[in-house]
Amino acid sequence: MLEGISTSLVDWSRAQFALTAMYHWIFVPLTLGLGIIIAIMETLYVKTGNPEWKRITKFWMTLFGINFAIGVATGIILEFEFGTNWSNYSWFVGDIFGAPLAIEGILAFFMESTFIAIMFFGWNKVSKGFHLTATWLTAIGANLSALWILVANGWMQKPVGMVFNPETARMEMTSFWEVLFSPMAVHKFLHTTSSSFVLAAIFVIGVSSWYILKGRDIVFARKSIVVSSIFGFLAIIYTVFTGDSSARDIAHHQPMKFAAFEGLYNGSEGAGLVALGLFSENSTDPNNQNLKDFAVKIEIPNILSYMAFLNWNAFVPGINDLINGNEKYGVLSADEKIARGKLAIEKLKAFKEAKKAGNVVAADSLKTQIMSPEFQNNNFKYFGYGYIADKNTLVPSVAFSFYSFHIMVVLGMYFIFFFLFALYYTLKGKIHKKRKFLKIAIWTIPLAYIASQAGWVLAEVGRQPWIIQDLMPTIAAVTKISVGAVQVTFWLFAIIFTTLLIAEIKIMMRQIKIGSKTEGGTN
Amino acid sequence: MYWSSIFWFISWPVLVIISYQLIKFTILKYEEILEKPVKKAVPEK
Repeated sequence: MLEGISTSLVDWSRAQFALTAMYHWIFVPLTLGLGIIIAIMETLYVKTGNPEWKRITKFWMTLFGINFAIGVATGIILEFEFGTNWSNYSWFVGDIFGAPLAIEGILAFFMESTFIAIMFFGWNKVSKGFHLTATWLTAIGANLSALWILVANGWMQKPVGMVFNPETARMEMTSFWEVLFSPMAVHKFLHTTSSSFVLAAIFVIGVSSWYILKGRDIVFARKSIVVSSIFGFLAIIYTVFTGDSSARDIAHHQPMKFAAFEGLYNGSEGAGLVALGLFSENSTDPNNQNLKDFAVKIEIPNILSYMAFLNWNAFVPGINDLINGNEKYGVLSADEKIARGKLAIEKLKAFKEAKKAGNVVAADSLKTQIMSPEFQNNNFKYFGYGYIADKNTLVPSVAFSFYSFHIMVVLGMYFIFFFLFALYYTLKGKIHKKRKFLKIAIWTIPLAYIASQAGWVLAEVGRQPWIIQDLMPTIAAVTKISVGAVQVTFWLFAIIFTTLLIAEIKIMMRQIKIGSKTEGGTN
Repeated sequence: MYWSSIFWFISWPVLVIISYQLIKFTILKYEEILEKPVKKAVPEK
C-alpha cells in the first residue's frame, strides 16, 4: 500500500494542507466571533431603539462581510484538498467523514448564505425583527459550519461510531449520534468557537482603541469596547474550561500527544506540569531527534496528574513508557502494537486473497475472525500501527508541540486580564487617557491570531504520525501524485493566499479609516 | 449516554445569552459615562 510514497510527498502534501488551513483560519475565527458580536449589537438596537447601535452594528457588519468573503474562498480549496491530496484517506473513511462535511454544506452554508443577503441588503426593506433574526441566523449558521467540520476533525482524533467492513476494506458509520456527540468533537467545537469569540472581541477592542487614540468616534469606540470586553471575558473563561476538558480527552485517547505537549518523557504518579520551559539542542535519545531535552523548566508538582485524570496521584504515561511499554501500569509497547497491527493487516490480506480465489469457506472464516470482538479489541484497534516502519516516528515533535501549547495557554491567561482592564478603564470613563493601554490593545490583535493558530498547530502536529488516531498513519493517506505537482500548487496557493490576505488587510484598513460615518467624527 | 455532551452543547447558547444580558445591563447602567463627550480629545499624529 505504501509503495511509491516518499516522505517528501507526504511532507509537501502536509505543508500544502497546513498552508491552506492556516490561511483559512486567519479569516474563520473573526467570522465566528464577530457574527455573534454584531447580533448582540443589533439586538441592543432593536431593544433600546437607540440609532447609535444601528450605526455601530452596520460598521462592524461591513468588516464582517469583507472577512467572510475571503474566508469562504480559502475554505473551498481546503475541502477539495481532501480529494486531490488525501484521496486514500477519503476513500478509507469517506462514508463517515463525508456525512458531517455534507451537512456542513447543505445546512450551514445554505443557512448562512440565505440570511447574509438579508443581513447586508435588508436594512429598511424588512422589519427590524426580521432583520435581527437574519443576523442571528447568519451568526449561528457560521458557527454551525464550524460544528460539522470540527465533528469530522474530532472523529479523526478519536474514531467512534463506526465498523470496519472487510469486504470493501473501508470504515462505515454505525451511529451518527455517537460521531456527533463524541466528547472529543463536542469539546473541540466549544473550545474552538469560544476561542474565536475571544479573537473577535480582541479585534473589536483593538480597532476601537485606534479610534480613541486618533481622538475620533469616541462614543462608538467606548460602546464597542464594553460589548466586546464583557463578551470576550466570558468567552475566555469558558475557553479555559473547554480547553481543560479537551486536554483530558487527549490524555485518555491520545496519550502520546499529551506527553509531547507537556514534554513528559518518563511517566510517573503525581506527575508535575511544566508551566514554563526551554528546550536545549541536545536530545534525550540519540536515535530520536524529536526528544529534545529541557535546558530550563519550571514544574508544578502533581498538577499534570490532576489535569489528565482528576486525581493528584494518577499515573501519567510519558513518551518512553508509550514507546517501550510499562507493564506495571498496563501500557503496551510500540513494538507490541506494531505486531498486533501487522497481524490485522495480514488477516485482511488473507481474506482478500481467499475471496479472489473463490474460496468461500476460508473467506467466511477469516471474516468471522476479523469481525470478532476479541480481534477488534486486540488487533484491529492497532491496525494503523502495522504500517509503522520505525517506532520513533510515533513521537511527534516534542518542542513544537510544547511551545504551541504553552504559547496558547500563556496568551490565554493574558487575555483574561486584558478584557478586565479594557472594561474597567471604559466604565470608569478613563479609557481615552490610557494611551499606553490603547496601544497595547492594538498590538494584542496579532497576539490573538498567534494564540488561535498555536492551538491548531498543537492539535494537528501533536497527533502525528496519525491522520486517524491508531487506524491510519498520514503516510498511508496521501494521494500518489508527483512531488513536483504538489510543490507547484503549494507555491501557487502561497502566492494567492498571501495576495488575498494583503487585499483583506488593505480593504479593512481603508474601511476602518472611513469609520462609522458619525456626525462630526469626534463625539 | 450522551448527557454530558448535550450539557456541553447547551452551555454554548447559554454563554451567548448570559453575555447579552450582562452587556445590556452594563450598557444601560453606564450609559451616561459612555455617552459623555471627551472635551479635549487629542488626536495622535
